[in-house]
Amino acid sequence: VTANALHLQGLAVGGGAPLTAAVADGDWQVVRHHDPDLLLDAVGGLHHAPGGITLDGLALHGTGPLVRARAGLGLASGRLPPLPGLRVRDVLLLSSPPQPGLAWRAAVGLRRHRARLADVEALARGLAGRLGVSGWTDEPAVGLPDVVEALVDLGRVVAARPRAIVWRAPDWLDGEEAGAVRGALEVEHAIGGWAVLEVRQAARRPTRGPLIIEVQS
Amino acid sequence: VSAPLRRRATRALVLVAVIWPFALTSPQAHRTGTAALAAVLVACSLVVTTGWLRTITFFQPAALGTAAWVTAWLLAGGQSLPVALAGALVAGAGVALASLALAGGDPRRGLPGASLVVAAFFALLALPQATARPFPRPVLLGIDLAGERPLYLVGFAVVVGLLAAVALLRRTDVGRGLAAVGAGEDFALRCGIDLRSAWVGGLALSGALAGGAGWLLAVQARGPLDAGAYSLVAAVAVLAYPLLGGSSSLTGAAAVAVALTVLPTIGDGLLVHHTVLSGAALVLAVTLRPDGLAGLVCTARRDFWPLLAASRWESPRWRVSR
Repeated sequence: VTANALHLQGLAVGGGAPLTAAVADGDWQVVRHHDPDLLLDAVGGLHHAPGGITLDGLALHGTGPLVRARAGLGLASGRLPPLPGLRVRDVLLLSSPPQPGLAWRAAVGLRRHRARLADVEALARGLAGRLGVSGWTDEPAVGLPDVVEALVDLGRVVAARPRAIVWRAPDWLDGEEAGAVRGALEVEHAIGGWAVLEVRQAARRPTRGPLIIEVQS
Repeated sequence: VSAPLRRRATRALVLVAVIWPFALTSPQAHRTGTAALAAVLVACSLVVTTGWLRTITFFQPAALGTAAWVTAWLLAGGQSLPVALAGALVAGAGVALASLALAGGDPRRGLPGASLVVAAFFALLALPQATARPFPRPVLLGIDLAGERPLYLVGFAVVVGLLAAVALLRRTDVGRGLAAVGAGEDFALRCGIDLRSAWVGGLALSGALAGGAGWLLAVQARGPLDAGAYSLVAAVAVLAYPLLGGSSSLTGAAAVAVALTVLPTIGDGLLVHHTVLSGAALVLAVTLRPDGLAGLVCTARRDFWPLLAASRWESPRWRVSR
């Protein structure tokens, strides 16, 4: 395991067998779990689970979701809550690192700071183009088709430039749509080179024995 | 509502608001216009809480009343109009944050009740006991605000400035964070958004907007407001603005606020039952169109403007059919 990697050590979630996985920078590993959403919540700190999580050599066990997100752990569940006040381009920027002071300077109307807002939005539009959702950037983020929702949630995580992504494979989509989402992540993975841990739905809950981890690259 | 349509609607509203004092010469019309501007600020304050943070609050009239009292106190003490505005904004934000403090550690569940308690406290105990001397309308940068028209125009400039600041803030990470917190705290945490900062910032912004309305009404009234402006009934009645206009739409809520302020003054006796009418409209809107006026415009555009709508669904790599 290289230094810049996501490392799960004996993470026991939902009564299943403890999960151990080490994902190096640029690697893409697949893990199957009987409750992928709960596993995502446990890795993200929204659900308490025994076991260790290390990112970039930084122990994250016992920390809250905010600390984990700011440490560079991206969680893409493929689903979004209804966000009527936001457009798709806003959702893409939700997880981006905050720019201290920009909000208030933009609010008091300094021209150069308002221009920086346009730059930030242009970045979101560029990402939307790569993901294939550029036609949706100005739409309200409510009632989006499942495939667009999965792509936008993925874009939200990618835009934050994380150290590692835990990605819930969208197995509720049909083959073509799921392939499009996977393809988009593969392109972004090739550009970004972060660690990707893909979580797939397992057919049944394993009661004992190790979890099978597939290494894709 | 799409961005171009929203921009057009906003420009139309601004144009009407600018023409208003010159087209209508009666002081009564200008007084109504100033009241409508204050209502717009209250509507935008409610959009921040109901639309962005997705929680019901009742503190707005209390913030308005407190800010009006602070304005009267400062101006009667010889302070300038901008200082009074700053004081009013801080006072409004303070009332909102008092609601948050009373809600304790769970604003999502506790804020409606806490803000109702704050509204009741101010309406029943604090503000009726507070006294401030009446004051003459001040002079601002050589403009004598004794007349209704100059006051309206100065108020209009202040309101446009505040709303432009809010609209710009909406495009920053702070504004996006508020909407994400409203959508769900788990989702916001997953996005790396600090919930405490978002709640404090959002409620302070909402309270400050209501405080701006209090400043305007106090200057118009040349002293503290009547008790009806910050009563419990007012706290419930103003909820109609975002509910009818669209809870997350600044433009929709502002349009409804203007309509509900101006319409009852048109044609003496023509709309004497405006409270009943606006109540009925509220019930119908909540039942039939929960997304309000903004949602209605959006649907009309999607249904009756298919050529424009069709061009949106296509993207370079992914074509989505609905």
